[in-house]
Amino acid sequence: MGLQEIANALLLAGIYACVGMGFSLLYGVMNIVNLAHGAMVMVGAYISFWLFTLWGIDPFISIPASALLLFAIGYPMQAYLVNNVIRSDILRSLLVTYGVEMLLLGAVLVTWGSNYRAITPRYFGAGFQIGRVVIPYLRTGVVAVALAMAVGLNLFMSRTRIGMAIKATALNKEAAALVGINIRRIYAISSGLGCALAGAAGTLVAASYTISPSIEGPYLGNAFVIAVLGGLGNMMGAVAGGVVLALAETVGAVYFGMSFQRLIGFVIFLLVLILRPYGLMGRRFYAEI
Amino acid sequence: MRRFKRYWPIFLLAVALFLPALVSGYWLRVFTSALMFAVLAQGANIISGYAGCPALGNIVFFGVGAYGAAVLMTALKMPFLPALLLSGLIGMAYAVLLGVPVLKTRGHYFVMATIGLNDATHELVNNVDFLTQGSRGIALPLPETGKIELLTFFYFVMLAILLATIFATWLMAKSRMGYALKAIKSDDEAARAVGINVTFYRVAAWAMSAFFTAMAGGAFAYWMTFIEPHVVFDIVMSVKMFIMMALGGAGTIIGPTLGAILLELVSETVWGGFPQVHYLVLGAVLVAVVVLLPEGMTLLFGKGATLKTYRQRLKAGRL
Amino acid sequence: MAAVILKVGEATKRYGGVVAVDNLSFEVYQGEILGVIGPNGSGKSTLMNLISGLTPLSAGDIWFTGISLRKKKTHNIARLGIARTFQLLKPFKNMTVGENVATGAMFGHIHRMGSVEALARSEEILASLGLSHQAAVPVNKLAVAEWRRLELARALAMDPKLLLLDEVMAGMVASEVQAVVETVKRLNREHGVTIIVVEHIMRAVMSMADRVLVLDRGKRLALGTPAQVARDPAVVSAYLGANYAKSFPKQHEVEE
Repeated sequence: MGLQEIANALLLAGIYACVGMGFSLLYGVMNIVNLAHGAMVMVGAYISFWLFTLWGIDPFISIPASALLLFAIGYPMQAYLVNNVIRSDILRSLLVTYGVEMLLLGAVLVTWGSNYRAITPRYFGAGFQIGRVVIPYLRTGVVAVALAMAVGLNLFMSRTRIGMAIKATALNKEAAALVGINIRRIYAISSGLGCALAGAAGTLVAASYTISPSIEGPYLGNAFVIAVLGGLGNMMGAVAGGVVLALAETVGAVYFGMSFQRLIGFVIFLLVLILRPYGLMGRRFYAEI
Repeated sequence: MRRFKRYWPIFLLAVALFLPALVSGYWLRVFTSALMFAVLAQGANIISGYAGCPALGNIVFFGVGAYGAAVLMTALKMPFLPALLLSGLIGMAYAVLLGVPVLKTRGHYFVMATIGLNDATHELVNNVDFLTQGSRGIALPLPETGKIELLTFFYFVMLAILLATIFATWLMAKSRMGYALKAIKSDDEAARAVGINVTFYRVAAWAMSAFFTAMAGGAFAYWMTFIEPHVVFDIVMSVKMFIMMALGGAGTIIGPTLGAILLELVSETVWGGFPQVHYLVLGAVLVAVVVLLPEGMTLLFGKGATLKTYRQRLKAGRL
Repeated sequence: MAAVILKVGEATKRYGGVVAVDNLSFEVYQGEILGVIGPNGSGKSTLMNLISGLTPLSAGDIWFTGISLRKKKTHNIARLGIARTFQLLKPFKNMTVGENVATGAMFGHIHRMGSVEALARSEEILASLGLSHQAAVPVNKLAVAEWRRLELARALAMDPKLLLLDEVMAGMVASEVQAVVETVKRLNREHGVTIIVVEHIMRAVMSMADRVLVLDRGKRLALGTPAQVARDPAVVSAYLGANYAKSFPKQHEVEE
């Protein structure tokens, strides 16, 4: 496996880490499986595509825009929809997020149609020259941003008041409410934050690959796997999960060919779910208690 | 009017039996499709509505049944009706085989495991070329329905499977298994403490669900004459059947059928009239139904349904 | 000399670093009422879970009528003849009172019962407890205080040989406590059911129990008749307090 494959894997890992972090955040705090997560990545990608096509805005600069817009989608989704069904059986919350997914998919289809789109900034293809290998600027940028987001999220959760309130709510929402934390608002903020991460991930996707509405399915599927591998609810674990999945897919493509990739992926996934449902980085008794 | 209230299932059945004589080919096809979805929704109801395990990936059995029938009819030259029955049994066997490990996972993990199962089975079918023709698809022999018109034949096949499913659900609900599933759904620890073998009943529920879902797949295969993996393992179809179940009323005996028929008719009208906004409309409808109709339609009209109880149920689900 | 119906042998349960039940051994005689008392966190509920099979043993074993329960699944243990109530009540909320009790009869009884027979048996049990008027009431419409009696009825419907009552009198007023004490004694006398009662209400336990087991931090502190246990200095200092010990005989007489 050469340097090129490693570079591909790193790029993928960066994107997967961001996708997984947002998904894990929603699950960790609210115990919500956000079936619209893949669609949100897709929307983020299309926002960046649009800004680039209309006004030539560089994808990396449009990250705040897609993040902000997805926050504006995630917050009300939680506040007005999910919060109203969250205490009944899980099927309802799953169906609500699935409905949001259909809405987002419909909106994108109506606005941009189903063709493939691409962002090609001026520095596309150019990169750092190290010996005989070219490391593209674009890919380096994506990995750097992904890293920055992981670090940023970590700092936010441990150093800011809101971050700590979110952590407290995730650990024990009754106790958090008793110390004066408004859990409805924290839920909405967490949802907004997780979706914003999805949006940012979408921008990174648009910066790396061609996009179409059909990307939302696979990204949702990947979000599951990444989050479970890292331990559902464990955000830094999602980073590890992203790296593991990216490596597994890259290695799998090299040695087994594309077709068995998903089968192997599923077997690993199922084994993890059954034998170690708290993920590779989780700890046993948190699940039991 | 009171007579209607009491005997409405019989009225509905009469309408269903005479439908082919009353509607055109296009609408007959729509209704046949609706009946098929009703079977799928009822199947989902057994494992999710009764046993409390939301198997979002339940469509896997539809695919297994479709491929089962297809392979039996092409490679073994089996006639339709035995192949149909066998396809149901193959689906059931698959559920029993995978039930014990998969049903040990709980909550969201279980949902994801079933979705993953569908994905993996799809992939497996794609790869087992020699048997399933992989992604090329299988062409089944052309239906021989004798003097009966083709579409009418499949309409009645689907109706028959649906009636069998509803009847089986009704029998199950009154039996020991019905009580066991209700107990398990409510509190599986307490169920164990009163002597219920939880794993056994969950697997049994899944096997029952798989049997009917797979038969629908087998009938579908013969009807379409050609099947491909991505069509019969379609996760969108799977979620659709859960939506129909939730819309009609999970855990009731005919709720899912009503939900399926209603949704399919609405879906067909919207798709027919406004293809562009199909997803937008369906998404909006889904969100509205889930948030505003916590227990589906039938419980809205059932015993004890008042504005007060409706508001209570809404509040119970709120954060 | 009565036969031993339940034997707990060096039972241990660990949760990570916490030892909830520590090398506990004792025997229960057929037909007796055994009280289990101890401060909070002493392992009483864990012991109930170990006996009923809801929690696996970390070490040691438990024998019921000579059969080892260590490797048995919960539902099989229930079918052997062990029924229980739960401290944090667990009725089946999607059924009526009558259906709840019938479920107990259907699956927990030594004879396999169909739904029709079970519903009939459910009526009998509810009648014997004076609850017939509630048979058709859905549990979610029942007051929480009445859930306790429902759980007792459901456990009784299983026709158990050994009944585990986990803090079944919590939150009851004196008259209700008295009613439960009488029901328990009647079950024991007339039907020969062996009963293990975990309780905090001292006068209730001391007045019904033939023997009392005292737990402290997962270990066996004392086992003997109520009088013996009430005077045991270790028990007094850990749980009962000197005042109770001094007044014990007097209290005991009043209850009878």
